[in-house]
Amino acid sequence: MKNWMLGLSCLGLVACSDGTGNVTFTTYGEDFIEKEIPAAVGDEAGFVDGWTVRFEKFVVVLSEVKVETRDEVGAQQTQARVFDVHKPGPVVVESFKDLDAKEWDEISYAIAPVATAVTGNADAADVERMKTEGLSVLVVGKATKGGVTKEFDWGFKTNTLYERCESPELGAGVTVPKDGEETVQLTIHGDHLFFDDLQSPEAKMRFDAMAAADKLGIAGADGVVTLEELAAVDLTELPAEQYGTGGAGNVRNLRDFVTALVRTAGHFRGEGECSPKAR
Amino acid sequence: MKLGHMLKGALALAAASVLSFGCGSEAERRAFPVEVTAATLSEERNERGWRVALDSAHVSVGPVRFFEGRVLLSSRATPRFFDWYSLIGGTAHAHPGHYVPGDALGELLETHTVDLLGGVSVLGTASAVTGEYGSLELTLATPGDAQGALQGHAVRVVGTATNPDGGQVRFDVNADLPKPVAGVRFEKSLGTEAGRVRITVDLRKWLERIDFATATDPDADGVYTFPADSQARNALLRGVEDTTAYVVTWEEGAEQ
Repeated sequence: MKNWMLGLSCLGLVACSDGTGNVTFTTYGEDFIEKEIPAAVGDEAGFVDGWTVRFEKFVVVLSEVKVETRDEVGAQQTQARVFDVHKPGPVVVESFKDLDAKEWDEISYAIAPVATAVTGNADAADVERMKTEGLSVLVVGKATKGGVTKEFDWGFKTNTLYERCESPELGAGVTVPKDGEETVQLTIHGDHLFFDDLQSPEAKMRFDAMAAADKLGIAGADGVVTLEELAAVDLTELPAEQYGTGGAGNVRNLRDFVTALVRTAGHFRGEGECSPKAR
Repeated sequence: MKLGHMLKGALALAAASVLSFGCGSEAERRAFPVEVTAATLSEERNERGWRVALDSAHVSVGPVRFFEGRVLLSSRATPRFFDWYSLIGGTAHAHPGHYVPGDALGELLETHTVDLLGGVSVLGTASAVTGEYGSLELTLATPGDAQGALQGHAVRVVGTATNPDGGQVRFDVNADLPKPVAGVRFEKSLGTEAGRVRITVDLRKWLERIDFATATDPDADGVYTFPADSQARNALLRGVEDTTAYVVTWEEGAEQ
């Protein structure tokens, strides 16, 4: 009798809700970060000025992953983690269990410096560097064109919240299936760092101007392009049809420019977009 | 999909007077005036140290097109552009830019020459629908007529720049843009209320980064132009293209 009543009680609960399910968030750097950004051939994506870029590291601090509706927060990440998305992915960022099985239409996450971050899949030395230097994004790699190679090792302290994430195919947020699991990918777009316009849909990937910036210091061109060298390149020294800033304010030089582009690297389920908010 | 097609589609539907978007929301056909003016140029030096006084500033404005897409936000469920990369496989996505205009909500097709030092100029009346406005596209059209204030250019600015040593450069310069200024912020939930759109040109943004010392070759009257490859021309073009040089507001009430 007691068991029968308990069964009825459970039936009542089920009738009042649609059950629960799980959501797992992953992150992925795609082929451009894991393998190479090629030189453009024909209409294919790539550097229009003939460079290729291979990343050696692409480290990001992912935090504040949140699943919510306008009225309710379903789950929120409490531990920031450091990922090197150059390593093979996708890799798990966070798993949320037993969320109400329904449509959660608001997903957000942050790429920001976090002093208490722990490793996701990044090497311990990189995690330590991110924390001691207060970085949110670290990119290390080489650009090559003909017989010329330019190395770069750029750390950024940008603090960006990606809100209202929306997939072209799947819509906004995530729908949690009853008794099932949905996977949501926080995709990182490495090619964005090299676009030659902050806003135009016709932006191209270029590296010539960045390579030419390698000229400061006693040694002059030493094969390493630093952020300080990028800061020395005023945009008005570059061809007027390149490096347009659209509506972004206070973008005066190439370091400002690539820093602004870093804020656009965070995406959602491949091509999906979020609204990036600088903090 | 071409913007023109998008606009035709939206306005054709609007011609039915009422659009239904489901969930009970409806868009109604409406019109509003569009006017252009300029913010007063301050005497503060630009970032290259020059104080600028203008004798005249003219621009050829129009068409003006209004969209729902907000700047730096893809507000659509489906991108408007063709993702060719999806056809050839791979997982490396390339989608330049982060401004997607989205649905067209209105347009003003006229083109007028505006005297930016002459107060407010009415461009005309935009055909539009009610809705959530996010941005606009501003065409600074190069006029076919080589005569008149613009002398055949989209923008013409005449004045004098003075450096901290008192050195002066009298200039008469022009600019032409290869494409419209897209993604100018205009966030407004627009119903059927009376009002008008005002576009205020921030002339300081146009001139802020110009090093007038790079102007060369004065004419017989000592008036300088900006050579094609000079920093001055580059900076002027970047200033005119800067979407934040255009501040768009909704002015309540009837046309002044």
